Amino acid sequence: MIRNMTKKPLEFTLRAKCSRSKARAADMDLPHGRVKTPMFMPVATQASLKGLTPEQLEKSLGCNICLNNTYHLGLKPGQDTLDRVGGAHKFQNWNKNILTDSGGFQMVSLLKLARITEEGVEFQSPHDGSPMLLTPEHSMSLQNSIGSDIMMQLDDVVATLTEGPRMEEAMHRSIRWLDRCIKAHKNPDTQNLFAIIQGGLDADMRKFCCHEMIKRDTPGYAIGGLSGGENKEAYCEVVTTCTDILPENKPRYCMGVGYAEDLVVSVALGADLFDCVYPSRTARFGNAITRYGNLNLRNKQYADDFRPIEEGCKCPTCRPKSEGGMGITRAVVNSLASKETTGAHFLTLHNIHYQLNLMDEAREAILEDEFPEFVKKFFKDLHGDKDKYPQWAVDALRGVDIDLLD
Amino acid sequence: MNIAKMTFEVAKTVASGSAARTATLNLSNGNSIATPAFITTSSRGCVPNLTPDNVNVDKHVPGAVAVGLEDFVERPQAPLLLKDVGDEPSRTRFSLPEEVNIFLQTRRPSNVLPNKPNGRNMLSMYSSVGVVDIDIDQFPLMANAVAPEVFVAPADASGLSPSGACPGSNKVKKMVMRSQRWLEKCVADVKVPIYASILPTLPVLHQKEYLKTVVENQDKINGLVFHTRAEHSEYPDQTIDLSRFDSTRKPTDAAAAESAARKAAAQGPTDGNGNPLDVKTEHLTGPKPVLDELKNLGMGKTMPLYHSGQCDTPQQMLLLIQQGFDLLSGYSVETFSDAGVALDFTFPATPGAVFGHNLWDPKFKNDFSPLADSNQALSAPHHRAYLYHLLDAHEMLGHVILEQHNLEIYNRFLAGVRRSIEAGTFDADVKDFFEVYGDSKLVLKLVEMGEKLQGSHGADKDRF
Repeated sequence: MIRNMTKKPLEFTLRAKCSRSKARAADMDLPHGRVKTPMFMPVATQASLKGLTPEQLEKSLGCNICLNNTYHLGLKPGQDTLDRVGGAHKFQNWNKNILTDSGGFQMVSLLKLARITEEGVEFQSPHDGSPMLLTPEHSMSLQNSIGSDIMMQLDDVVATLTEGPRMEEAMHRSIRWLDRCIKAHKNPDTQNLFAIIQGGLDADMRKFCCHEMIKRDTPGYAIGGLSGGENKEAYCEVVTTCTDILPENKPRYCMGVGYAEDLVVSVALGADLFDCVYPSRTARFGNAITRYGNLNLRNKQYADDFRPIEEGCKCPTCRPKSEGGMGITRAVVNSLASKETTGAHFLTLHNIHYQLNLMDEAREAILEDEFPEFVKKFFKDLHGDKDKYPQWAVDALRGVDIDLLD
Repeated sequence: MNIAKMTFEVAKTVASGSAARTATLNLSNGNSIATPAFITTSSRGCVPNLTPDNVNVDKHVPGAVAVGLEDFVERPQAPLLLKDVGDEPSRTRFSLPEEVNIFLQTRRPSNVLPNKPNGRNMLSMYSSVGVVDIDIDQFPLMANAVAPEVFVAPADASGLSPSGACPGSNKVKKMVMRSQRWLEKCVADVKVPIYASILPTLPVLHQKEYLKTVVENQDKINGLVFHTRAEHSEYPDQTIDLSRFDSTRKPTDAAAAESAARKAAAQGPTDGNGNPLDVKTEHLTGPKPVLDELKNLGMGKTMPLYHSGQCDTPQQMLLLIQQGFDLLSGYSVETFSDAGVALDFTFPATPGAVFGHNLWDPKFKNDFSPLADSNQALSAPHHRAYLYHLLDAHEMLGHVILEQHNLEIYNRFLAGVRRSIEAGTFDADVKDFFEVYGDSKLVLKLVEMGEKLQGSHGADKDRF
């Protein structure tokens, strides 16, 4: 392999490809260490992953990359504080990688009064209601101050189900904004800027956008504007359309994807990176994600259930004390859930481990070229009966030569 | 089954002045606790905010964890702790590291008084679903199922009142009789070491019959527990005149008047013949009158003294240690952590240092110094600005880090106390401590400040 003379902030090395589906395993070397793909990236919105210490995330869960939200960090602690301390890694004592979004998604999802112009996103300050403007330049400046290993371009986010001229405008504008982001990005030697493919559910727009973004040759590409209420068939269609076009030697990131089934299918369709608040958010509502489906541990049927959350689970919460874990049972979580924060912490540890482990297992299967078997076992464990398999997953996987029903 | 061996060896007492002492408490599990030590609070079987992997036994819970049975009695018909699953004691159902020492108590270490009197054979407890009556027969069963290092036998304290006043004489009779019977029941049926409770607020004279029961069973009792409120100890007719060290208060001001009023209130009760009772109740004078009486009644051994009642500050802890207490409730760690305070005090005091920092204060927004100035090499690598941010952003991690930090500060504080007693400088060091950091009232202002600042941050203004 030919290596560049100067080390780039992102080296993406394919390790294996599934001989049937589009699934792949790769090593992504970033400024704060190696990330093995496929990878789920937990979300530490406000520079903290809901109650977990950075030590727990790194050492107990083996996580090498998490997300911070630019919009939230821009408000608290603010750019001035981030500049003074020398970036978000130092701020939160996290020595592994950070990916930041651009802030655009929060603008649209959280602020009802946001208005998008060619200049940027106009919104009212949540502090005092005064008008503010987030431009591609401002987003880059914030993400440069954060010092994230992967930065996302500011894109024009519209509701996924939007059609016609507004979607087309958003797609074209996202391309123009990428150019402005590239120009404004001050640290291309130490921070990677990813493009975001837009175009809603329209295959032609997605294809056009992919080709335009590829011309800009960013270190990685995200598929954006999904997980916005579209049906799963449409989602899979967009992902597979994009992965067919995107270059093989760069990472592909499906933004906002976190349900286990979606992860497994998206990996089969050729995506590498994922993020979602789902595992930590659902933990706070007392839900445990397991191989066999979710359990709501607040339910009183678990009050006397002295089994681990998931039999055989290797997470710090479930692993028996004899193996260095905490040996926590469903009954214990039940007695703590919604009464003590530790109840949420136990489930957050378990759920994040579930997501990371699921991607680990997928990676191992790809490396052994046993990915189709992995996918079949995953669906069998989750649903048991083949009649219960969701049709969209069966169809999407059939499209990449994995027949779940066979 | 044999009652596990437990010993208590006093190493050093202060030569003159206070009754402070160091000792080693050897527990049945082979662990030993160097005293004076604090007993970490738990809630529903966990150290608040900490999963067991975040609890470092040596740094955070060097003494023991107090677990209240009250946290586990929502379903009196099917108590969680009595459910039999294999050979494991039900202590494995607590969210605590395996090697932690457990003191099992009836009530959780909060300050809520029961609002419903106990019955002849039942104890009223506050569970998460309301007041629950637990049959007294359940307690030995639960104690044996949990297998703690120490079980604090229940006593009838339903005569307690927030003012600290002594209950009426009929009530006193009931309290004494029930407590005698309950203690005898525990002594007969509990298979782990037992600490006996001293009846709170009752003058020695009125609990003499109960103290006799304690003495009669001394072979099977390993310690004594006092449930009083420590605030009553801060300005007693004490050996140390605290007003001298208190810059915020003159001896003639309202607090002194309050203290006098409190004493007057305690003089209220009379015996059956209308004569005033002996007003030397133990909450004003420390454990000495009770210990003297126990000795008169034939108590032959030195027992560890555990103050499990309310104790709001390290200042109050020091005064209790001077009264001779060996084990102290660490409940105040929660008070400070909940209020956003990162503690920074040492013992002996560090001249010129501050007691702690309320990290809700916007002045910490860009303060990248460690949480504590005067304690180097603490385990938390985080800085004040991050903690300010976590509190400001309502992130749960803030309370995780503060809990760890403050437990570690308390641990160092008590290690300092033990060294000071060994060195014979304790009473002087206590005076210095009050001079440098102020009294309880002063340091509790840090807590009040948290409540005020927290309000000004606006819980919902910045959230979506």
